[in-house]
Amino acid sequence: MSGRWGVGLAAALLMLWFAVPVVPILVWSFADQWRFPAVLPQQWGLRGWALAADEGLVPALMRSLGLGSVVAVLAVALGLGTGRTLARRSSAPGSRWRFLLAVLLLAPVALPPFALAMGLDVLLLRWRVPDAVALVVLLTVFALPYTTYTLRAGFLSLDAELEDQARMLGASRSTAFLRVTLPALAPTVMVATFLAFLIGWSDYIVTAVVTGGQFTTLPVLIGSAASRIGNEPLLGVLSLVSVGVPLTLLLLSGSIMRRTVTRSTAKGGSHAV
Amino acid sequence: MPSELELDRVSFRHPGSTRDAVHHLSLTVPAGSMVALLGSSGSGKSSALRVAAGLLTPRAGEVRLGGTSLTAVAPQHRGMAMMFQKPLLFPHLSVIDNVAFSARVAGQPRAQARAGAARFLDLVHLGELASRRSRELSGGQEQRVSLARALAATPEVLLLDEPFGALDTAVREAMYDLLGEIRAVLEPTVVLVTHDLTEASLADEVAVLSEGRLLQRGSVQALHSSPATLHVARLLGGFAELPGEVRAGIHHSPAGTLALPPGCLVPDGPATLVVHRQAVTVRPESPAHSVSVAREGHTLSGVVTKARSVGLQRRLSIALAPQARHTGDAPSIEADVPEPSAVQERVAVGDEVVVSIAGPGIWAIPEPGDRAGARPPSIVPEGQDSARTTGTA
Repeated sequence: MSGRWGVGLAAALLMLWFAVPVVPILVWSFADQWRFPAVLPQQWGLRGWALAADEGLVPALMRSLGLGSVVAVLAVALGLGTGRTLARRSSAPGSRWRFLLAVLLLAPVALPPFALAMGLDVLLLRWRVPDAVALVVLLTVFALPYTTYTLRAGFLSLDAELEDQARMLGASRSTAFLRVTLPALAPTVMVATFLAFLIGWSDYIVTAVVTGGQFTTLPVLIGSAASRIGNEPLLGVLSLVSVGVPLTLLLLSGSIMRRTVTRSTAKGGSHAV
Repeated sequence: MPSELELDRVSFRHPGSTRDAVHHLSLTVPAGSMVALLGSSGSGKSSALRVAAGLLTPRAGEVRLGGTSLTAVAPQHRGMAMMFQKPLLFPHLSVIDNVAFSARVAGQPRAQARAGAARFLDLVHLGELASRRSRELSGGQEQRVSLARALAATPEVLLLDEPFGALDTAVREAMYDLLGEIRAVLEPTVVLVTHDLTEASLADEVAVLSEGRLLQRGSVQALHSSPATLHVARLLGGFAELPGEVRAGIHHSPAGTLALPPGCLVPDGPATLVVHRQAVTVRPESPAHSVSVAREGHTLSGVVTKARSVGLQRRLSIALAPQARHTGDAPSIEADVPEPSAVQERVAVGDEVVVSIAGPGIWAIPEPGDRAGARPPSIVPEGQDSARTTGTA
């Protein structure tokens, strides 16, 4: 019984942790006037939403969604390869290259993003790589360590012989991967996708450096609004949207995973083969 | 439709290794028969199986199925199914969809594939568990599903890589029965990899491997009655070794003299006599017995040094060659005697006993026989004139 209380308390604290920063921006996004030291706004309204629409909330939202999605797809696709390699070769003797690969992958995390973005941007400019492509490439590089090591953990938890077993049942190498490995890794892939999406979704520095502020994503819009004063309702709306999208995705993926587990344990149903 | 599987001088080496895991292995498994690859850990038996399956690429030699070379054929097109040491059920699929996997991959609609899979699930007596997931099954049930899944692929050859090793004794016995039932119904060509002699006994023939080489091939009875090398004898287990010399069909050792069994044609010279404990009987020492058995050439005398219970029997360790007993050089032999029995009651540690050795389970191996490349002894089955060799590599 004390264990259940402990879990409940931990869940409540976790919810509080998420809720505390969200409450003020939620209130601000529906406050037309809120002067200190009042606990609640003097005047409620949708002025912030109108301002946000005028500032280009919808196009910025679409750009951020697109950028996050493209980065997620690329980083997960590459992470499946690197994560699998690191997991499958983890017991191989004399794999010095594995250390080298780990250093290369972790460099974007270890180095300051501004310095890295500046350095790589110079190179990409000289190679005449379009800004949008350069932005996607750089953010994918930043997201790759997260997807790689998340997926590596997934591959390590999966029996390496599963694909061999599938092949001995008539599946080609790619069919074995698509019909056995990938579905078995689905929860891990979902987590990796979410992490990579967040990298693209929430980036400000790389976008600002590479595109010179010409590619207005949601974080760029927030940065611009924050540099001005008296913009709290607008900032509240932009911040609420920037928190709301990943939170919705998180709840959605959690629901899908929970439903999958419930379905499999309760009914013994299965994915389509 | 079962087919003959043939490995022709196959060699395989793991990347980074300096020696072959499988070396010039030639082995034929007749269509519809079952051959067990028996060997200790690292003997190359699993590698040989994976080479046959196409999961490993040989550096030399050829794998053929029904006379057709499989060199350029991918594993999924070889007409073979394989059961691994672990059940390896696909965790995201139900039991029925695991069994239906091969049909689905081949393009069958789901309903049709499931209907076909249900037949194989019934074959392993698990029809009622069709909708469960692998994590809801016991270890034995998982392996039965794995067997049904392999059979559902309708393979020409079924490859079994120690699939029953992790099961407890009762479940393993049930799997042996099930395999027998399936062989009777479907008659597949089967290759079973195992390090367990009892399991190997399920097969029509046993091929003994060591360091990637084939040491001997034959029925379990033939291996027991005439092991080609000391390594084979040690792998089979239960043999005592008496180093000595053969002169005119008689083996001389510090333990005494013993006549070689008919058919054991060992040239004069150094040879080790291997004696299986099942060929040994024991009775208390008496002068009258000693005189009579000395003429037979099948008895020795010794002292019981250890005794312990093994199931319904009592295993005695007997030090032979009484004159060497106190120097620690005395060869020893083991014997299983019934428990309880009148003899056992009278025989205790420290007693002097007469050891009689007879029947299958005694064999002589010339001294070079255990060396690499040496020829094993030739064997003439009783009542036949022509010799046959017991091992090829």
